[in-house]
Amino acid sequence: MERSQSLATSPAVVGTAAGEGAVRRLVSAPALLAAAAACLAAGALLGFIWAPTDASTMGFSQKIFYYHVPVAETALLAFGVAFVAAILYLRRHDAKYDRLGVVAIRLGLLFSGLVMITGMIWGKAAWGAWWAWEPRLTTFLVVCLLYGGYFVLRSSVEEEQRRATYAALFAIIAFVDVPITFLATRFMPAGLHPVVFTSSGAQMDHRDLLAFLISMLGMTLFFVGLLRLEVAVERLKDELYYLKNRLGR
Amino acid sequence: MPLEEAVKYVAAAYAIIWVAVVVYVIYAARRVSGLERQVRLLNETLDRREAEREADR
Amino acid sequence: MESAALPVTAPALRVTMWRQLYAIVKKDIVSELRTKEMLLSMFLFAVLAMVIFHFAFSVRAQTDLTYFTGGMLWVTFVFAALLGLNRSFVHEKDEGCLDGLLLCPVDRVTIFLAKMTGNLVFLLVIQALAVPVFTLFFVKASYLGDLPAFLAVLVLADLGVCSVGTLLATISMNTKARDLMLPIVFLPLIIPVLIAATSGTTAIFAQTASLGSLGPKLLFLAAYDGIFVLAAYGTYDFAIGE
Repeated sequence: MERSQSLATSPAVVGTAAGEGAVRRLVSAPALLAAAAACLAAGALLGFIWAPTDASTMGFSQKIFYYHVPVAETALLAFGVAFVAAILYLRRHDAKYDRLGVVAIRLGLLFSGLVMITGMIWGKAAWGAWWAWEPRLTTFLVVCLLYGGYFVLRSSVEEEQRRATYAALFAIIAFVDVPITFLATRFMPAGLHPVVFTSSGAQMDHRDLLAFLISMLGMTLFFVGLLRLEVAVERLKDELYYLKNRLGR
Repeated sequence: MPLEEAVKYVAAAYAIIWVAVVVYVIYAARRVSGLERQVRLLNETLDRREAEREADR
Repeated sequence: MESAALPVTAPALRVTMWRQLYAIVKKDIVSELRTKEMLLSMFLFAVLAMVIFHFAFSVRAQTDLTYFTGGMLWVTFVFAALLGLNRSFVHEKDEGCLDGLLLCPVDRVTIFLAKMTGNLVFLLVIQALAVPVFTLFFVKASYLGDLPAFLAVLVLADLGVCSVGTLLATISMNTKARDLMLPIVFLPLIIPVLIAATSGTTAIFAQTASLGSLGPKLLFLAAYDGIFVLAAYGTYDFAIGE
């Protein structure tokens, strides 16, 4: 059992009992994902069948809101997770925080992309234009570009520790920049489409609210479940790399 | 926008999210099982090597 | 570089300039495909430039930027091309590939053509991705009918950018102020291309283009390309020699 001990102390897989840890995590991921699917389906159903049709000019297209906004908030949640992971990495220099950060940002980018796509579809349905330079779409565009740079940065630093450090620094700076960017876009002169993609703010009908909250829960569960899966993938990849090195000797 | 048109767009938006979700989950799950298989194989090879070295001594 | 070597005794391996060219271009493309780092960076840069242009020019509500579209597009591509040009040569020099290349019995002009082709390919790939995004952001009317004209302007201007760019990048990478040198010498030279491409593209986007107005510009671009490729042909031995 000398081999499993040295495996456990290898820097790449520190923090877990290598394969067993990854498998243990995996078991809960399917449960999370199933719950997520249930919530998302329920949220959508409630939104379509139960909640009233929007009275404003948006009409039926407002229904996109039940998925679009949760996806957006989940994206921000993902970047927040990466922010925390980055801080933890800089303080403890544990590789698992770096892994968590990469995975969280990758998922955040995926969700941001979905925000943009659904936002554009909503824009076309509600206002007739595929693109409008309005605060939310513009902010998420900048966010996508910003976190895209994260991966460019990672791929251009070869040494592991330095790469993780720079990546963590970037994740922190980028996350701080997100609210700043959103505020800044409000300085933009209002365009042809005064697009405020929320369902009449504080007076959301309670049926809308419930459908929205359930969908929100679903998206969040989905994010956490995927996060678990992806972290397991990263840990397995590191373990594989380590094993291949040992085999090569 | 007339209702029939709007329904198409709303359906598209929901469909895209569901498709992305399902595809990504399947892709991630596949990678996990593939990697686990490789790790298991390498571990077995390492075990075999250790055993051979023990036998040689 | 095996295919570029000259085993003159083996009749089956008669190496032509085209084969050498193909080998060098393929090497560049394959090595970039491995990381996709430069392509991703160039694309991100292009979209970022578009976003910044929007903020720079939207001073009033409902500003119509149609007559700025050609300019925005080509400034974006010129600077993205500069990025790519810098990258491709800095990489070669730092990794010592260039020295290896120079040791091979390959015609210096072939190296130029290969490098130029590689840069052209990368630029075209970026444009294929960035033009739809640009259209989404800024172009109100569909120009599908004028697509051949648009592509003609695009390709001819790209040739100008890549021929002059490759030649100048070769020179400037050997200087002390590497990164800074290339833009300084490149931008003045590319102004003619910018003028022709910008006015042509704006006309296409604003639906005011016609064969009569575009024809001269296309000819001008083609002439520019021809002149500078010839110039490179004559001078590249000096440019790349040590």
